[in-house]
Amino acid sequence: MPEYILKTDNLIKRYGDFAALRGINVAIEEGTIVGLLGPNGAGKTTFIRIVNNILEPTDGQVFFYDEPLTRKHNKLIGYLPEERGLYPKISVGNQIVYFGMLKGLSRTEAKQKARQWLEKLNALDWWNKNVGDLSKGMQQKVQFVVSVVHQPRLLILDEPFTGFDPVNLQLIKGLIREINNNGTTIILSTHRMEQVEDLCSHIIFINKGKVLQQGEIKEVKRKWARPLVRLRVDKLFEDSDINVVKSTLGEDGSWEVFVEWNHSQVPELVETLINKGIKIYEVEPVEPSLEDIFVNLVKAKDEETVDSVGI
Amino acid sequence: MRKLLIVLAFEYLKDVKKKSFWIATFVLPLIIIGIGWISTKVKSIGEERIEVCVVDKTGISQFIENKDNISFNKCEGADTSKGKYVLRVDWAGDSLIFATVESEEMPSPETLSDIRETLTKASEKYTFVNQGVQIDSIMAKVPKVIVNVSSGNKLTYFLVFAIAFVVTIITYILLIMYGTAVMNAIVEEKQRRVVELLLSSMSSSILLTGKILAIILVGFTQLTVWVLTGIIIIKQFNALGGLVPTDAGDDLSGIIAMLETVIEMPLPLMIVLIVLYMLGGMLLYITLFAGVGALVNDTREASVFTFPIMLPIIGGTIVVINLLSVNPQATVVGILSYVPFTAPVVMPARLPFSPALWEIALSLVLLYATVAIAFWMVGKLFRIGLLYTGSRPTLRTILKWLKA
Repeated sequence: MPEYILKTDNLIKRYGDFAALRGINVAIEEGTIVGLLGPNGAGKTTFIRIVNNILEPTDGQVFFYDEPLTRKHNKLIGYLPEERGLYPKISVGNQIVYFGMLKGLSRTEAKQKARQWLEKLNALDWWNKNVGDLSKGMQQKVQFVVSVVHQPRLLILDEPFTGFDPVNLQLIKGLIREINNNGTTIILSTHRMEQVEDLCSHIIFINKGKVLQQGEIKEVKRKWARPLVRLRVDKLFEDSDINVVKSTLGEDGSWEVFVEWNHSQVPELVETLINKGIKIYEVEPVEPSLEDIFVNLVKAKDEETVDSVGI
Repeated sequence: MRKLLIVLAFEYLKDVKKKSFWIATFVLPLIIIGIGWISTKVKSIGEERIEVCVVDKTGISQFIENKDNISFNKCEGADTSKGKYVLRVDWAGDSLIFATVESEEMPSPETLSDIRETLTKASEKYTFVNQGVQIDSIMAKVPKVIVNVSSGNKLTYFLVFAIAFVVTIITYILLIMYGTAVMNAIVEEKQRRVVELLLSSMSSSILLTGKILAIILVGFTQLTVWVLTGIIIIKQFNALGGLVPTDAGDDLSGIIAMLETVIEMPLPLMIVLIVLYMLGGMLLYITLFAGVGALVNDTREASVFTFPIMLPIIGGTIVVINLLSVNPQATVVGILSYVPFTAPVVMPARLPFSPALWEIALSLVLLYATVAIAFWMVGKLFRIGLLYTGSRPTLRTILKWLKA
């Protein structure tokens, strides 16, 4: 029986007449990295703010380790907000220590942990520098340290990769994996699906204040992915049984065509096309991306909530 | 409680470590002293000695005596070179003396009335002499009148006013300066999105309380520096030959002794009351300014809200400066010392004039009750406003937030 670090029960949040969350039910298993996906305005930030006790839900409840969520749980939660913010005229060291203390660390502990983290990021010599004097990338690193300095059980990262160059992006991804290996559950909210595929084991799709789908990525893919086959052919073709999703003309005059087709029946596809007199240069079964699944889900289930496949 | 102390310590040190805090602490008194010095200089320039050339056809001028600021000189003909004004005493009858003042510029009403007064006095003596009265022996018998104010001397009375003004001005400066400071800090935290991180660690009411208490502590730190500097300066003056002519030891104890003779209220009680009014005023206004900070997205937007908040403090200070020296017992001063929004600047200035205890109690109760209401209301606005980044909320939106 898996242990759930966070569960919500029919979470509703209204701002006046506008409903930002319309009955969110999620269950997040301890130790996982969960991708929280959804377009702008889907309700991700509202959901995250409620879990951080910044907002109160209009209705419904949040459970942290099966206890109703209260402020006492704040010290077990780390948060990297999408809109980054630190005091520009306060030194890096003081700032990390301050936020660490607000999350329940003693001054000595906070100092010690802050030093450890800065050392890990090769940034210990920033200790006395004002945050305002650092580059944007450096500030992002400090902000990351602020969110993890108190060793949270649950870490919520809202768009954590913006502002990082490729080298630092790898560094931060490595750190996220390391934190997760040490037992911290991570909710990763981002638009960058490729990062979710790379890091997350689970996903929650949200749209218009409702959960469209949640579960293990491979399960979700298995259930919702339309299998695609990529072909390179000499000319375009039409067939009532073959659904062409996308086609592009290559520089050498050949066409790259994506068709919706079951991966186990690729020989039949090839045979049909040969019979039509089509020359085939390349055939490749393709894994659909999370983005494809998400677009399909939104189209198919625009107004209705899909049952959870269970995490 | 632990979080409140962490916020308080952080916010306090953040302000006190700023160079601008220490610059303000030491430069502000210099500016105030500078303004005082300039205003006395300006006054003394305005009080330049006036010279009046008297062309007399009647004989009255022999009885004209010089005044503090006007000297009268007899001159022949219309020689105007000696003074700015020429006074022609043309004709003296039984019941009328006819005189003309000639000048290129219009004399001030004060100068004219001084000249008239001088001339009237001279005509009295002139008449006595004409009636055969021995004026010198009569004048010797007229008793000298000395008007003493209260039981103290002129300097003590001046001190009471000085204290009233200084307390009002300092309270005024602290309220405006720290109110604006806390508002700007909150707007900056909103703009820099630090707020979201802070609220993920504590409730908005702890944040609000921590901020307000920290800035009040900063204010009192500044006040302590000013008072200590003041005491050192007074002691230095003593070493340089004395500021106050007194037998009661050094200048400081001399001033205290003098104050105790002229103020009915015990001095420690008065100090406690002044501190209570300053504290109440700061709590009230800093809370209100913090509320404005939570409502707006940048400081330019804030002026719409800050103007009505600042109006009572400015109005109260103007009343104190203008009315108190004329009539400290005026009804309007009394009323303004009860109104919670003006009491912090008006009542401390009334204290040296010994208002009734019930008046002080009433105004304190009203002030602190208003502080509680303001804190409750701003707390509600703070919770919603801090995360609000849309256009400036209308009055209707604000009311909706208050009801939420």
